Amino acid sequence: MLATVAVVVIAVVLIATAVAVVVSDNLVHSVFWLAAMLITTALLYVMLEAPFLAAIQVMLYTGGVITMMLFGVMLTQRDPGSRVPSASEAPGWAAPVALGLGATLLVAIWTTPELAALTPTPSGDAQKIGHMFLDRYLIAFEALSVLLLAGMIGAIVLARKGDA
Amino acid sequence: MTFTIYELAAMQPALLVMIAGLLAVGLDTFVPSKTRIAHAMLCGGGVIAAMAALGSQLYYQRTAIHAFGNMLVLDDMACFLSLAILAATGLVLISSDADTTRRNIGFGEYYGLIMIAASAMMMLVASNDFMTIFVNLEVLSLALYVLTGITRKNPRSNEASVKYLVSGAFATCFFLMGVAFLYGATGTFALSGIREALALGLDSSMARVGLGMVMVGFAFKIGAVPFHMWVPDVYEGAPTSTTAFMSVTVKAAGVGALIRVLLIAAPMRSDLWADLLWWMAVATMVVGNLMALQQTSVKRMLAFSSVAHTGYALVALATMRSTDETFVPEAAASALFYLLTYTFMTLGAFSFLIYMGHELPGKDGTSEWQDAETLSDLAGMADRRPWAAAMMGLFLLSLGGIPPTAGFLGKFYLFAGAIERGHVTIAVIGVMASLVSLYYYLRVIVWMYMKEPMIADEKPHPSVAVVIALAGLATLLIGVMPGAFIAAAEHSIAVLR
Repeated sequence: MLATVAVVVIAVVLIATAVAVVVSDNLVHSVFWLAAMLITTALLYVMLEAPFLAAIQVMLYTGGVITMMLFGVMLTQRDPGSRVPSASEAPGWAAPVALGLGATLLVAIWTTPELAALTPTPSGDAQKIGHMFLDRYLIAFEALSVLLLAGMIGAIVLARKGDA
Repeated sequence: MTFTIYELAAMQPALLVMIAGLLAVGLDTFVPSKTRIAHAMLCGGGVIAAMAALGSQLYYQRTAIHAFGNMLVLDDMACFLSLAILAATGLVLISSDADTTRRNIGFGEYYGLIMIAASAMMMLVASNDFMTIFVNLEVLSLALYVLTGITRKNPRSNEASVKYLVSGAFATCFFLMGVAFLYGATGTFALSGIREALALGLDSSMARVGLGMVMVGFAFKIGAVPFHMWVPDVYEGAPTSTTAFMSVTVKAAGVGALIRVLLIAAPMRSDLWADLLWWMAVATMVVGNLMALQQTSVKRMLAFSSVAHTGYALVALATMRSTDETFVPEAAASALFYLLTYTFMTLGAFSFLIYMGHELPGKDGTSEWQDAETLSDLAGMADRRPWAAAMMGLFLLSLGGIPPTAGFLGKFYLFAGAIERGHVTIAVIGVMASLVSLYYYLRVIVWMYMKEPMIADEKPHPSVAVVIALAGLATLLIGVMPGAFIAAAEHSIAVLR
């Protein structure tokens, strides 16, 4: 019961902060709302008995990505407090389509009663996660390192000085 | 779970390609010259070695290698599509030294990214598990985002790159959400595991929505209507060699992975996806061709035409479920064969635009390279360069589906198969769409042969001529002697398990 209340509270905060990221006019505010959203997601992981994932989420996203974003804003901003108008230019049917998709997803989840029985119990055990990476999902894990490498090469190519 | 060294053989071809690409990145340190011929040779060597490995797998090994807990499987379909991808990569590499020098892309990372993308595509068509499918889809996309924006001082290239990144990330969200739903509904990422779960009656609405979202993700990546909006802008803005590379290889890899998902994960539930694909194929053929009609830029026209060709390939998948409700997986063979024909004719057509490129005076006294794009760039060029014009004519007729080219056989095989399975409507729509397409393909030929020249300052490089000649040869060869290729495509599907 208490857990259900907690999850509902977390969900409401999660959605509210996510909306705040999008509607905020100030870039810095957006980034801070994003940080709040990511930390709330980490709380959700805690509720799902995955403390390791929660710690990684906080360290990587809040610690790494958000800091990078703030530096990015700081280093590229021409005039302080520059505003990014968030008023949407999307056509009128964008909202109905998005709401329709959301409703479809919700209905799909609610009409699947066997869901709870099927989903394997998550294991927050860091040791088990490590074993999965080097056992069952070895090849995906190795391919991920190529992903990082491609990202690194790409970033250097696009950002470095020189011709072209 | 224990792995044997034997299982490495399943990813050996992709590994060879990747290693060659990574060595090419490192080669910059040792070969400090202006030209990148050494890089091209090294990568070409990797491509040839991988082709040899795939050939020996096809002709000597013969049985599929299931590796790493069935996450990867090197079967005939993976070999077939990998060979098509490698052929396209090899052709792009032939002209890339001249191309990168002219466009001042003075670094070896270009080769590294091309090879990483190619190896990820090879792994993608061999992936038998949503985990590997997803990761490899991301690796190839990431490399292509950068390749699209690699001419960094060209604002159109930058815009195309950002557009591709944003829409690609959007598609990834759909794909990932779909995979999460499928996992929630079936408890597994493995394609065969999902099939077992569906057979056990676990086809909850969650699994259906998941499958639908995965298909939306694929539709984005291969540019099927209504998820094609990024295609014309990205294909037009990207440097033409990148456009040539990605327009053919991503399609082969994406459609190949989609075929595997449909045939391995959900073969007996074709009622769930066949109608969806039917509408998607029809919309893609119609919208692609109608939009291509209105273009004045040849490059943009070819981009829309590539959307239309995605639609033709989807016809094969949409009609796998025949009208009397039997499931005919063999139908997918015509999609594989079509992808093969499409590879050479489209690559040839885009290479022709590189061939007809010219120099523009830049801002600060330097000159800037500009590939041919508009009809006026090509006006009357047949008198000056009859062979190149003839080859472009061949590619355009093949794209339009005129015998004796590969494009004709590809379409014939597709639509005849669709009619055989009772899908007359979609075949008629497809034939009508290709009739419409003839108008805009022939218009280019008319401009090449019957107009007065307007700009006549193209500076063709012989290496691009080699690419065009090889692509033309392949287009004719497949058109005249299709037997072996069709047999290979059919065998690929027949042994798919």
